[in-house]
Amino acid sequence: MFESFLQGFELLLRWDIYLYISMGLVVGMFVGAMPGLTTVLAMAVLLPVSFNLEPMLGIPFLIGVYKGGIYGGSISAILVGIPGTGASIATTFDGPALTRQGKARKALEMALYSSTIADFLSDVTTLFLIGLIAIIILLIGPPEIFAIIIFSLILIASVSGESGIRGGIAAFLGLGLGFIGTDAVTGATRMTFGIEALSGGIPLIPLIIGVFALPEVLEAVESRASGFISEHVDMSKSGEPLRWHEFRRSIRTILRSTMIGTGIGMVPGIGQVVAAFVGYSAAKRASKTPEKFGRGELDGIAGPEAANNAVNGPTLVPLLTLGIPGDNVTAILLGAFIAHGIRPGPQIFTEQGPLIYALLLSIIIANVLFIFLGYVLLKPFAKAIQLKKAYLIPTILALSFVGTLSTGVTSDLVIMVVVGICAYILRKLKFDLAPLVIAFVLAEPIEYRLSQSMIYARGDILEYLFIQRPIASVFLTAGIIWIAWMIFGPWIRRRLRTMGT
Amino acid sequence: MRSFKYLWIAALAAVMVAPLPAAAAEYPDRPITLIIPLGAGGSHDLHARGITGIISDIIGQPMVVKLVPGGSGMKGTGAFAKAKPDGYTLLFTHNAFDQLRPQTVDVSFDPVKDFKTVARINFGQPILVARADQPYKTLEEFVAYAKANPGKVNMGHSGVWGATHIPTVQLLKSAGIKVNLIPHKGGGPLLSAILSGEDDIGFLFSTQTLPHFKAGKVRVLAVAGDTPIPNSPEFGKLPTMASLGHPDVAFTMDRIFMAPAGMPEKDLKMLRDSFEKLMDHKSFKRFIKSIGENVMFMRGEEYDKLRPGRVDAYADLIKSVSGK
Repeated sequence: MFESFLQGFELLLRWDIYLYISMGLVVGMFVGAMPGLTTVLAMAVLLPVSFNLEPMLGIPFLIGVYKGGIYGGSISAILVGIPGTGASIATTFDGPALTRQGKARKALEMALYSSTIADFLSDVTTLFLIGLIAIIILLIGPPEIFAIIIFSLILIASVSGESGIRGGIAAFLGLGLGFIGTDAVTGATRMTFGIEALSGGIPLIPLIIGVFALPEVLEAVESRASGFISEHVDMSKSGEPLRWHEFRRSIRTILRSTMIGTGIGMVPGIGQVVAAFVGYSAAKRASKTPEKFGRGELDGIAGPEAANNAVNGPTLVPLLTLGIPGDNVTAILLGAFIAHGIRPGPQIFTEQGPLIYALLLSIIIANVLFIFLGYVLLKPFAKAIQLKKAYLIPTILALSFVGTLSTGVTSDLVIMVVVGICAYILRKLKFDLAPLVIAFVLAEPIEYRLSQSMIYARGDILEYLFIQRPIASVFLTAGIIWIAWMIFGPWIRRRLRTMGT
Repeated sequence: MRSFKYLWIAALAAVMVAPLPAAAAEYPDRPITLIIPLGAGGSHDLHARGITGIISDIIGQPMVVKLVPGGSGMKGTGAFAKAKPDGYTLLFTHNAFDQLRPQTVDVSFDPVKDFKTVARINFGQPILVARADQPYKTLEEFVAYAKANPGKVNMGHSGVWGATHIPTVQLLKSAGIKVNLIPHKGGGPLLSAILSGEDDIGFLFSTQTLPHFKAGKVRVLAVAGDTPIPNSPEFGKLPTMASLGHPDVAFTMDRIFMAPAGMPEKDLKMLRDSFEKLMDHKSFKRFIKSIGENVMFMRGEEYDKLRPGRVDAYADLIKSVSGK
């Protein structure tokens, strides 16, 4: 094994690999920064390019596109509040607020450092523990995924529970929206009101643009009308870089989120979105100033950005060791592998050890390259936002429409506008819409994984979840204890105090 | 505005993939959109990436992939049915979405009437795969085991009325057995469930199965249909369902390109001819080989003759499954 590792190292001793990774990173970053253009789309379009390159160039190139694209998605999330994918939704909680305070560049840099550091650490962990992670991944089946989602939801809710009842209502709305479309278990369409465009469910991108970007525009327009313009911030400060003391405060958050992300990365399918939300919630919970979260806190960027990128390492494991892609990105990578005659599977390390180690190492190196490349490239983005608020609002509005149309389906535009107007009304009624989006994203996996578990259980679902599946049992029990502690904890503490005196 | 995005991708694809073709006066004189009613990274996406890169050499215009997944294929198929039938929107789908799925849900189109086949590129043959620790080694032994233990076997499939659900229900009907049917979202999760011990058996395609078969983790029992798998040293000798007395377990996943029935006849002929030419294209042959597939071409006219009969056969299958 060590020998093929060294041979893999030798494969990396050529400069053109780094050129291709860098090209991938730059292309990916620009595509990702276009609202609505997703990393997956960029990779799919560029896949044929990699066919014509040798594997040691083509695959690192695609990985560059991927890593650059994820960060690009954070750029639009921070600057205009339009997340490129579900993974950067949590970044929109604090990103746009920081931009409006003239701290755009600080936020972009924080996102860059936290995501590349977390990605780097998670990739290194994966390289050394790939065998162990492969075993753990096979232990996580439908009931475990169900239990982990429920546990994560409890964790997220326990932190964002400022507006208890309203948060609950928003979450239920999100669940309801998530159930529209096709029932994955029976294949029947439901709740589509006879609209064919809804037969595949409400698409994510129009929904998140509608929820996050459109109300922002409407509120800005409104505040101007009521004479709120005096609150104008000096946007020319947007170019100020992140200071070391600001970054230092978030190091703990980055490391915590890295562990969260690497752990959740072993759960197929839901990884990035859940990791980002849990990372954000954990950062808020550990913070000395949780009240600043959501109003422009740099730690609120580091938390989700580190967590969703730390997912990347473990998601490569099922791809490499089983040949099973966990999401669209790894599915495209699988296509690239196969087209290059590399067949991921149990024997890949014995059959093509040096090449695979070289590819894994190139992924790690891509992170290091990106810290420097990203640092140079984010400046123009930060500068672009140094414009008057008067220009920023129409820009967001235009990008919302262009971004939604990127799917090429015109009905998505209607969905975005309807969702946007509803979201604006809900915001006026003081609803926090983050629970709505989380519930929307997780509605389908929760239902699906529970249905699968019930089929496996052949009737007795509780016995199956709590006794036959120990890992699921641990997460569900921990979740129940957590809820009990939130409800009864203050009361118990008070009792203990009175007993002490 | 609508075309903004297409132009963008088209430009990117054209610059990156193919030399920019000269504009022609006749059809096609602008890029063609290819709708795929499936997600990124699947076998259709992979095929399409190779094909669209090469077909532009033949038709003189770029073909741009647009993925519209959801609703078990019906969202993308619906989008295709609604597009102007001018031949500038085509569909790359498979026979379950074309001939079976529209019968099970309420849709506004009738594929047999509204669509015409341009070409069948090839077909994927589902293989019955069991985990190596199972007590049965052949199809007969599996059927006997399932009969002795009704409902005990966990049999997975890739989603209701999907490519591996159909042979599964065909087998249950043909052999008269009862199992615990587990739905998954695609072949990957199904394979993963078989490897981890949650599912015992299920239909998979050869590309996914091969590495695990070589590693000794899974056993292969039979291949659906009546044709042995071509060009495969590992699976070539696998008995067919037909040879084992189950001729009704016949589902193969045909990868087909569809055009709207309303498009001009001479343009459709041009497309059909172009796809026939594609099969002899050197880069295409190399590409298909590199992704481990075969060319099993059939002209659109031929395939269109098969479709009405298939639709009726699936109607019976649906009735027998929902009727019990």
